[in-house]
Amino acid sequence: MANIDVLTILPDLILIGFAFALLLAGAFSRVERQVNFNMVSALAFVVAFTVNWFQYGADKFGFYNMFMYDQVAGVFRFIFYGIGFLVSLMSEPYICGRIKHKGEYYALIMLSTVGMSFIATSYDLIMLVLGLEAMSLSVYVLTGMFKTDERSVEASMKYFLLGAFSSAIMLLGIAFIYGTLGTTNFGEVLESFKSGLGGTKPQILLVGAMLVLAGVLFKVAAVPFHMWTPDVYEGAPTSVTAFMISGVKAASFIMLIRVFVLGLQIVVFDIVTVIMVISAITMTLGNVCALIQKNVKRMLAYSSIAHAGYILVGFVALNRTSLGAIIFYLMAYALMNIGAFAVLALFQDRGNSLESLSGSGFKYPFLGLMMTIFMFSMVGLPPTAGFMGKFYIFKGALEAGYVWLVVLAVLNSAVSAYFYLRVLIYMFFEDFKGTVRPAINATPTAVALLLTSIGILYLGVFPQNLFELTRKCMTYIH
Amino acid sequence: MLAGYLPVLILAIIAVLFAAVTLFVSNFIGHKKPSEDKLLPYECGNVPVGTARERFPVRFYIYAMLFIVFDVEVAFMFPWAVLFKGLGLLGLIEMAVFVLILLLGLLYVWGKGALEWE
Repeated sequence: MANIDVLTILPDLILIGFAFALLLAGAFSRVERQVNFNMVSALAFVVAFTVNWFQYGADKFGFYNMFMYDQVAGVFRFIFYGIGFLVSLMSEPYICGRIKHKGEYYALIMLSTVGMSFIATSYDLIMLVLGLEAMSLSVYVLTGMFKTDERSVEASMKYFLLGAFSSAIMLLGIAFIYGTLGTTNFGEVLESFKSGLGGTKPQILLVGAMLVLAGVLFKVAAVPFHMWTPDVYEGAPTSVTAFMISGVKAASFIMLIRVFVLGLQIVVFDIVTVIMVISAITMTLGNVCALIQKNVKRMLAYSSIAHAGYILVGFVALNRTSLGAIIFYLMAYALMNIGAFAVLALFQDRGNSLESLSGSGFKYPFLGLMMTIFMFSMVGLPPTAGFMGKFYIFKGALEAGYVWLVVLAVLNSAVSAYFYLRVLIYMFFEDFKGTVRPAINATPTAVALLLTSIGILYLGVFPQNLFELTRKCMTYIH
Repeated sequence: MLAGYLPVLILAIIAVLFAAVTLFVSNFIGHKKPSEDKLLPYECGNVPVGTARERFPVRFYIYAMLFIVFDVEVAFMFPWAVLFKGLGLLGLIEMAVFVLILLLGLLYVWGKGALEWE
């Protein structure tokens, strides 16, 4: 039994238990009685978060070296469970009346989070793919959760087909890697670099690494694998978009770090030259396309592409500061996106055009204030988390000597101010047209909004502690 | 470095050539005496009664999906049963967990009313 060590995935097992309970409760109870499912889901995430809190610190291997629970995995579990908690809180007013089967909705959120956590904990390429699939399959279904809404179903279909292709490409890459090294386990991969290959680098290994990279970059939504992003993020239910844009993105980046910094260290410098170009194109394209969007969700989708570009800068720099900064940025990014989408979800509008927000800032001052904080954070203005995230990423990149990349990123941030602040211009400087009305009885969403905004301001004013934590946990690199 | 993969390339070329040549040659020199019986779709020896591309109720799909779940279960259980003694108590527990999860799935399906023929 010693090799199994269930404790490595204990919080995830708890989540799976809750998910099954909600599934069954949803199947056997009447729809009117399912009002508290969001609270059960939030509770599950709180329990998982607490368990992880007590487990954090010690490195543990489990399931015959399929899992390695280290500090990075612990930090990412905090992020994922936090995201799940906030999304559970904010979903209710938006999905209420639109989704009949709430048990399934919350169960899928939980199971998807389990998949993300498996990615962050995996110590084997096969386990990584399993986690990826667990995450993706749940999200495909969540995207199409509005079964009678054409755009939702279309988004789900697109996401599923392209996602399946990218998984296949990634698996092909893993097959090449297995063919070269004879193992998929990160520990054995490192071992074979030391002993077997004697410092040489077979071409076919690079081919495999590039294919895996393509699969990862698809999930990250980096150019040239970004085409699905706007359509899927726009068509998906707003609460699901919030979950995808924060959770799936964080999971993709830990996948990138886990595969290339922990596992296939030998090819990481070949990868970096590719990613450098990709990150420059990604952030520019994301920002330029976001400039002309009339739909807020679509604009945020392009902005997520741009943010992926910024975060990739941190990967290019590849030092401890920049990798720690990636984690910090992902936290900040999750907070501001969940917040912004919670405001959109509260307005219950399915069109999400910029005009529909006209004047809502003064009409609903609380939501206006919240949106202001989130948009300032997206631009990267102090004293918000978005500013500190960008600051640390750029600092890491400067330490590594990528001045031109940092200059480009800063220029891009300046461009992005236009379309983020335009949301606020519509909210505060236009006349109220009565097109949006926030849902009533949305206390949990209000709590989620408060938590995210407080988190953003806290991380913006006192970033030191958390950044030290993220920097310290990144033990893969010196 | 890529020289090691030369045999794979040669094999691929031979495979493609073989397929192409046999197709072409049999098309070229083979006798063709089509009759009505020969052109019928093969249906295990029976005389076809109509087109195979019929529409049938969507309800069957649910049964097909449910069948897959339990079919896979059996595929997983056979190897376990063969190695039952070697896997010991741990194997038994793992199989119990697996079957329990499937059982929950069955309960869910039942609760959803998917087992009823409406």
